[in-house]
Amino acid sequence: MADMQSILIVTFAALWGSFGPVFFKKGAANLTRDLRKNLYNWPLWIGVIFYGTSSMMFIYALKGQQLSILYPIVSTTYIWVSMWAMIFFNEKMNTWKWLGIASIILGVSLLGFGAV
Amino acid sequence: MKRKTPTWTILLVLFCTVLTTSAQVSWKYGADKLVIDPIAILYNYNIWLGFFFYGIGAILLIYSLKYGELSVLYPIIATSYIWVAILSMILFSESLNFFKIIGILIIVLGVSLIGYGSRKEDVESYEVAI
Repeated sequence: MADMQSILIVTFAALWGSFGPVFFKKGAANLTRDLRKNLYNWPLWIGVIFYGTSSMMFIYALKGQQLSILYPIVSTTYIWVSMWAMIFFNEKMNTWKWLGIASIILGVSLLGFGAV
Repeated sequence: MKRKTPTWTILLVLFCTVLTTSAQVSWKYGADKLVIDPIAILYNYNIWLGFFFYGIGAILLIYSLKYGELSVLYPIIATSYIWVAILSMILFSESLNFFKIIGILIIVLGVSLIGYGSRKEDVESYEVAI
């Protein structure tokens, strides 16, 4: 079994980590050929912080736990990122893309089941 | 017809997943001989190689996001689960079972559906434009 604490941490980390790619996308728009200027591209660093902290939460919460329960929660991050893409970047989702997200979540969940 | 997510950005993200998986494998090797000693960690080249792969992967991902859609490119990262399962089988002799094989196939299907959906969207916006 996965304990309640791990489930809560993983649920939060999936949502928290979904902001990493949002800031990467925002910072990516201002990438320049001047490499040094990119170091002052603050959205990229915020993205790195979101990614890093969520990874640490995942590593802590997944250790020794039953992945069949936690992997499906980990993959909710794909739903969040699709939603942020619509809200913040005006990207369009359609039935095919949502079916793709659903399949990925199912596939990742099955990997979790197989890991038992 | 202009593509909102050019094919090369999709291929680049696929390459990123190979890099980040290599990083994880490298860390796995590094963790196996990890000792709590700053000098030993300094010489544990697997750890540094892992950071190197991860860093290059992140830079290429950010670069591809400049030219492609987040809703298409981000889910492609799920393919890294496939490389992890295959490499774990080859390098660490972890077995593939029924669930894992079906899971891998469904992830491939999911990523393909997203690619298909993105092309569909390009065609629709092109038809509206003309």
